[in-house]
Amino acid sequence: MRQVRHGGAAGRIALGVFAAAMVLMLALPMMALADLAPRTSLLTSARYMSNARSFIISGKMATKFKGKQIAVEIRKPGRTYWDQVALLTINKSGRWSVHYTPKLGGKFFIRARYMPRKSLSRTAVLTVKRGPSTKMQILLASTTSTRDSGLFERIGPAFLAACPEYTLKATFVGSGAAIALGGTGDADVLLTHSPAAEVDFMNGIVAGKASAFRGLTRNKVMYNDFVLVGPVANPAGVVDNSASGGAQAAFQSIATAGSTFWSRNDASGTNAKEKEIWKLLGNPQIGQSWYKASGTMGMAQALATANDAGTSGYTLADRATWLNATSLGIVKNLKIVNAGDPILFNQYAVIEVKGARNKEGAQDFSNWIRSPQAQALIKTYGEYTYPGQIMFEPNAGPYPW
Amino acid sequence: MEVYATAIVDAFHLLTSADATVWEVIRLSLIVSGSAIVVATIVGVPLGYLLGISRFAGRGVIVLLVNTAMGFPPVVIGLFVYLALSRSGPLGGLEWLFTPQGMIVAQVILAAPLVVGVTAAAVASVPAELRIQLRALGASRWQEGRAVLMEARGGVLVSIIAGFGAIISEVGAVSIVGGGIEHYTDVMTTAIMADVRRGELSKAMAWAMVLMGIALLVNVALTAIQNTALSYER
Repeated sequence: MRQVRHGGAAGRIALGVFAAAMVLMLALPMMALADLAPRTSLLTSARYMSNARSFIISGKMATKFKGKQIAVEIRKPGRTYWDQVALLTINKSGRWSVHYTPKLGGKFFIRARYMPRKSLSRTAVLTVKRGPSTKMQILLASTTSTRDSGLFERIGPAFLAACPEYTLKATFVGSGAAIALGGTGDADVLLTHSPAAEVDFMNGIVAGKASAFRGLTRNKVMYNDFVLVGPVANPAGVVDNSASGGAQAAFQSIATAGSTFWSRNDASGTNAKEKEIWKLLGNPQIGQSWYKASGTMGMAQALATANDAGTSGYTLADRATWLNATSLGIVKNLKIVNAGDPILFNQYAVIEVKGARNKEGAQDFSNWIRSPQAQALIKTYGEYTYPGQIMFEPNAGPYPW
Repeated sequence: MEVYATAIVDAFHLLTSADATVWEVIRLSLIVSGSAIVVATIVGVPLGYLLGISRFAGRGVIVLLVNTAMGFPPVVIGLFVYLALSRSGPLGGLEWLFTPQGMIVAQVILAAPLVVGVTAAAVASVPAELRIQLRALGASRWQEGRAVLMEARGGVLVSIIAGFGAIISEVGAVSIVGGGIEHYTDVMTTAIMADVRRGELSKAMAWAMVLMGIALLVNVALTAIQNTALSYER
């Protein structure tokens, strides 16, 4: 019988070479991708203490790594950065551990990083079933128009529903005072509409003086416009010209006619805009008896005062408070005499304070108010009560300064 | 006149409405001012007694300072307390700004001089012969103090009433230190300010009637105590 020669030794060698080539082809990329840096193991006590509020996080490496550092990092779902909570040294048996009490409730991720090579352990999930008894408090200092228009009644509870581990304390003081609260570090996040003062705050200046704290991030949230309102009879003959320069002309008519003008004089966003327009005209209002600058009136109160027959006059208002006042019926003797000039554009911004007491809360609020859900809430607010009018138009985005 | 009649009716509607916030605000007002006057009494009555019975060189100056402090504007006290409790201030670590605790601190500072001053005046008007007699009969300092305060109890109660009246009705300190934050630091006076600023004058008037009614009720109670206390004399 003829022996079938099917390669024999040569075939086996070829097969061997082929197999080795395949292994190498698969292994080499894996070896290249695999980071050969040493990693620590990670163990959390969450496995056997499911209702705990504090956890033991520990890990082990080989003994030769003693004395090296391990950083423990934590991240809440939805947040973009990892926060370092502990920096530990590996002891002589290669172990490290830390006792950690989270300040937040809910679920979060935890991992350990071997510092000399920055290599990461696996990521573990910790869930704090019940939040700590004092929830983390966020202090929001906001302009008054978000409350006076009723918007905050909508977005406050919505934020708490989205981030239930916080309590939101909102104080409505006007943009200037809100920025001052940010400057002393008492507020965690600000909602304001006074661009020049905001830019100053980002640079660490509040009301002309250096402040202890400054802004960390500034982003657009929503916009509307300012409207100049006055008596229905319009004694100063203000022309409703919405072209650029129309607002200036309107203010000039008021100055020329010497009609009463109510100014809020409280460094709020509306007051800042009004002062900006007067400045463009060379400040004809300073010291004049028709210019009533009352520092203690809110926007709605100023509108009510301008509406009253004895103190009738003109005033600058933001669109949202104006619409709210019309629905309350307190401005029956007033009408819009000028609107639409591009200078009357009113942009609202959310500012996180750098070094705030609750920086996670500030970041969560800032992110949430720019999220699609919150922006949709803002958009639909007022559409039902004032059909056809824009109360607040959402336009979340970065705010270059 | 009708304005007030309507306001009283509005006040009843405010109280009987199912709005939980209204009772929250009333409760916080009473807690803040109540705690403040209790602390001011505990601190102020002994100090007032000591000031009343003492005779030393600088006494006139101290009495002058206490009387000036009685008339100190609440908003100025609020500003000072705010600067102290602010994060950039010395006591920022306490985190009492925009909390009821901070408001209580400000109101204690407001009420204490009143309690001290009026108690001192009341104690000083107790005849000195009584104290000599008590000591002659062997009373210790504590017993002498208690007896003198019992004699002066009318004035001491007036000081507490005056102190409470001053702090339940002030708005400057609680609004600067507390911030008027809804559900946390909103008291009746800051609610009135906020409603006026918002243009809701009728609601503000309703709150005003509620505030005056509560102040009246508390004073009726305190005066009843005062009358019982004084009735032994007749």
